[in-house]
Amino acid sequence: MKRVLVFCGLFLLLFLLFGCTSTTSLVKGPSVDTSLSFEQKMESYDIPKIEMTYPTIYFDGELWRERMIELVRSAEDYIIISSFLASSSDCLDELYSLIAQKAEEGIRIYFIVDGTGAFDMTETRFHLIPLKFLRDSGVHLLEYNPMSAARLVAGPKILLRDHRKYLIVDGKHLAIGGMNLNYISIGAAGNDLQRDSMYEFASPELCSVMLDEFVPWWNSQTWDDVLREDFPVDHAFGKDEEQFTAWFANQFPFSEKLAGMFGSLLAEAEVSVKALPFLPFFDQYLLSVFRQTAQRGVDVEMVIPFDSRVSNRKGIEFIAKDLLSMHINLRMEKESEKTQRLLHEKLMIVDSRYVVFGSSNLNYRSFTLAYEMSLVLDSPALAKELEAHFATIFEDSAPITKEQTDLWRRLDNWPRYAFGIIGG
Amino acid sequence: MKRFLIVVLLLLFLAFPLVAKSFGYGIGMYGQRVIATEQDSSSGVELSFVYQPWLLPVGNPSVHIKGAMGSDMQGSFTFPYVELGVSVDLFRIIKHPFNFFANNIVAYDPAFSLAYHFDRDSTSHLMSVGFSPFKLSQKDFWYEFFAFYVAIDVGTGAVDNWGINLVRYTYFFK
Repeated sequence: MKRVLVFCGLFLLLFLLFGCTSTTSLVKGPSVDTSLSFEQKMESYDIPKIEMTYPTIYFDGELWRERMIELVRSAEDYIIISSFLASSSDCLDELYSLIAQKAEEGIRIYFIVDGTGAFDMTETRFHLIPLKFLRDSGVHLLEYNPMSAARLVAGPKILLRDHRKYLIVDGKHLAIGGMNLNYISIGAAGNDLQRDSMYEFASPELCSVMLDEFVPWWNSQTWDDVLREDFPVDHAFGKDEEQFTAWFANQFPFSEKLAGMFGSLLAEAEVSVKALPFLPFFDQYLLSVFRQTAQRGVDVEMVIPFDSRVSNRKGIEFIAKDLLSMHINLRMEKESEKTQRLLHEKLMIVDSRYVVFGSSNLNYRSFTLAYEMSLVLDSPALAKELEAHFATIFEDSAPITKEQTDLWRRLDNWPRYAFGIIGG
Repeated sequence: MKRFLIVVLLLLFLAFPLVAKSFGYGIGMYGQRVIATEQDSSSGVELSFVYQPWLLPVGNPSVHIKGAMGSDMQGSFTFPYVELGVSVDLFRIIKHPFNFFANNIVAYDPAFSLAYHFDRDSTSHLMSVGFSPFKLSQKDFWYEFFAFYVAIDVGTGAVDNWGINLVRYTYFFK
């Protein structure tokens, strides 16, 4: 018993140490400095400003899969793919066979998948074909932080995950969003297919920024070294279209970029905030920043997905009482035929002007323990389009009441909540 | 003044790799045979700390300190040795038959080591020479199998003890 207590104590200590590092910027520092403009705040968090075209949004995994097949087929030089969960299946054979074929034709393909990909516990597990076969075709496959008994020696590092989802083709085409490259994200039909989003656009500046960060990161992970000059960017691509201002946060574990970005945005909010957090396992600072935003009179609406996976749902139900203490318009999707398809989307819209999209959930793990990518786009037109989309989700939700949260706050749900904090 | 500057420059030179590269720690399973007093032979866990100042394609020196703890032939708990030494890779190759072992590319880089071998029960000065024939590495991780050493009494030249690490995993902070 003593040993168990010592172990738990050490774990808690590590957890607290992690906790001190990267979500405080939501409520402290430049993000809440009223003397700074939003642009200056982004600069202070080393979040670069870029220009990009109006994005094409894919809310349907099958459509994104078809588009991705087109993009991969069109590649002439290189492709970089990153996905938290990625695996083949019968319905994804066309995509993955094409990736293998293009690599055999000499297109350089760099494919990053997180080490948890092989431990996918969603419906994907019944269809999962690991991607190792891609290596035989010459795909440069990197599994980030693989899960194995030997690597348990790495201790808490096993918690660090690469949650980014992006695609770069020939330094021209870019896509960022929440969709994984597995069965439930882009392969399944019917209720197994998740509701999610991917944003495709052109931005030579962002391509350059991403490649500048990709090359040293890749080289730090593998012996398969690459050079920055091997990845040219087409600086004219998309420049004939209207350009929009955006800021790009490439978050790495324990950095404060995401907290700084979201904290700054929420501090700027004057009228409304609409958020789809996916798994809202909030820590004290996330709770504080939304509470403070609501206290300023900002209308904050947040819709939590109905998660048919019992473990996640019970974990979220456990924390619902804390979420309710933010005094925002907190809602949960109703259980229905539609919501059997899990809402995996991550989105925040501020003052009908700023739109935040990317891989990051609104939760402690994304802000602290993961690699994430998020973009803030300054576009009232996109905000309007996405507010209409948000409204359709809002319609199918119901307010969470105090009575519900009292019932949900059960001790037997605590382990699910605790797991959600570090694994959600 | 000149000497002071040289010392400062020397310290800066030595400190540079300290911030540039990484420390690691490892855990292994050892077995040790003591020649003179066989009942002191032991097996158990070996913990190690490694400092790898560079990531060179050839040589790639590292400094290590290792400590073993286990049980001897009578079943008593024992700390048989502590080592402080250096390791050098013989070579590093990416294309080899052991890539099946890990999901990502793993390099094959067998290593030699030379260490001061401290045994609190011994009055002699011992040096150990080791060889890790199956050392596989990634940029943040070493997998070693069947690494062995021989500890020699510096005074007499006789073998004092020898041992083998069935497995040793070393993780490097980045």
